[in-house]
Amino acid sequence: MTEILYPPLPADTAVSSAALGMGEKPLTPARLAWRRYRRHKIAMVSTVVLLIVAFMCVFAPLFTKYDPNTQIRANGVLQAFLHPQRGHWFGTNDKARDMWANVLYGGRISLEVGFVVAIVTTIVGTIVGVVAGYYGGWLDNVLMRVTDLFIAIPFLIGTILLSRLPGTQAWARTLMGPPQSVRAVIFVIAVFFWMPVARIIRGIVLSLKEKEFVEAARAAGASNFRIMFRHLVPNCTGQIIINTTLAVAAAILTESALSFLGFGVDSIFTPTWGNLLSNSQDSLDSYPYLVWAPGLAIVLTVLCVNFIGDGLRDALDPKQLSI
Amino acid sequence: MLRFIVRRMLWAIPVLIAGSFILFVALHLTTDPVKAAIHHNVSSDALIKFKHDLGLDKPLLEQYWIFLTKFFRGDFGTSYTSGAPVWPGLRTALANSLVLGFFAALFYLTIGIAIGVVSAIRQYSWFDHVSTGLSFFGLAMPPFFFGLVTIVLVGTFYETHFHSSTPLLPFIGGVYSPSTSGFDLVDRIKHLILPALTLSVQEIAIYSRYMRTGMLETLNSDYMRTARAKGISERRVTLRHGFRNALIPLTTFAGIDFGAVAGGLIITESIFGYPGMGRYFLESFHNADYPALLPWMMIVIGSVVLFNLLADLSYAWLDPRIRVD
Repeated sequence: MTEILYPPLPADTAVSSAALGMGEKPLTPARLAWRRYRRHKIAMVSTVVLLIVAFMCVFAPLFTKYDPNTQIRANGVLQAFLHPQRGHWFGTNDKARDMWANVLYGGRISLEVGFVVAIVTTIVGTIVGVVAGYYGGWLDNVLMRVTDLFIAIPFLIGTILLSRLPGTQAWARTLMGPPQSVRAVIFVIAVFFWMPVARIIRGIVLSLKEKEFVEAARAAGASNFRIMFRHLVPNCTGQIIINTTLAVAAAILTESALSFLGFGVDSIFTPTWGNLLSNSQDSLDSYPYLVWAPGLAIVLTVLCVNFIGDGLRDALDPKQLSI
Repeated sequence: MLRFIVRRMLWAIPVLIAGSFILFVALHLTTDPVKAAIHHNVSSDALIKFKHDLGLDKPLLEQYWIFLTKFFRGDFGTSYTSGAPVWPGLRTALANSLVLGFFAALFYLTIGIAIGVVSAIRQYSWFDHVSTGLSFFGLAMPPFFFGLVTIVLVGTFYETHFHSSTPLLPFIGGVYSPSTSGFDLVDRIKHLILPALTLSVQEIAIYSRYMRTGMLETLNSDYMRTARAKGISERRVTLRHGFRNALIPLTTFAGIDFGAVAGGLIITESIFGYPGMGRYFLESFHNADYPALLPWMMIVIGSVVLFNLLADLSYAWLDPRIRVD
């Protein structure tokens, strides 16, 4: 078959042919999305800023010579509450630790909590949503009632109670790690974060499962498992990515809220943005500068993540009005 | 419509019972009133007797049943820590939270909706761009960070830069200044301003975004064109036909939001030491004070369920298209 479907284009229409997707590289959905994403300037700037923040936190030793738990001494005297100055850009806190080092190392934990919670809850929520939506019937009913129940439990109360569990129950300690550890905090937040994803995915799957391509897959002999995870889930990719991004922001805020109330990561040896901020409250009257660094770090990160989410929404789900 | 209401109300009962049971079990797994009461010279016999007197040696299900029946008979019991009846303290905390929630809601709903409407009518104007940018900031702002910043501003900053010996607004503890005797409206409102502002930051951001989206949707709908074609003034078209319809989806959101007020002010209240439901919870939780915590939980879960119900009902009432039965 050597039929020419399209006549060869004259040279001066090269630009429009590229726009029509007839350039050298084929326009896959991912490339189209990337093209739309690049056009969202604030999202692009946010991506760069977030990458810089993440880089500085991950490679913290490159940017500070202090360990977050080293107590700063001058001539053997503890240097607590140093005002911001050369060598200590954000000053030192009540424990005579360098705040700049603490903010950098604290960012590691805050970002870790954000990303791990988002990824874990997306996986759990997607599985629950796809199973509930695909099978329907009693299984759907049970899963959705459980989801309703988790939504009905006030979020902060649930997380506070759960965060105390490893302290009193041995089985909870093996499951969640020691009380007030990073692992426990991730677990606690994740337990109350999977419901929105589950609901959204279920909604999409409900409408998708009647489509012809699912019927075709079934006729070709695909198993239920294959239909769910090779045909339905990839069709929800856009929504999944958007929700994962927003969950990162929400999880970072939640971690800091829990730390603030004293139910988060133990502040003695593990700084996080939340517990740094929480500790700054005690000396707010005399040393208000301690509030700014961790607080602004949270605002900057969450702001970037939200803008990225906004850009992704425009890129992956152009039909939806962004709010 | 009646079937819809009845079905929704019946569904609320199992949610309330299951939710309270889960929290009941969680509370028993995480706290121990006996341990909280241990002092140095208490013999183990006395501890066993203490546990027995409180009824804590009974099976968990039986304890839950006793609590549930007592609760619905209006018998809230006495606090382990103070020995006083639970209800008066709980009532005060609830009233304080409701006052704060109402005051804040009035503020953020007015501002949020107004910003949303103006942004939608003047889409892509400088006002729209600025408010969009600010709303992203609002969403990224943890309430406690904002709370601490306001404290710094009205406290240290105000005192040093305006040469004052007292802060601009009270920010620590209580609903009244210690010097006030009896009811003092001005003083009461002064104590409400900072907590209400702190609560409002994220809410204004959320409501203005929702309102803008809703308003844009209605502004572009066919009935708006019809209304204009009939010669109705632009102002009336926007307010009567656009604004009112755009408010409908907001009611669901507001319902869920208000439902959380009874239990959800934990952070704001603990920043400002405001004696509401959130602080009540933290204090009782710290002391493992079951008789104080259990009715608190029922009220909090109950209000979430109730306001969800009201939101659904008002939605069905305002928008007849979604009345499903």
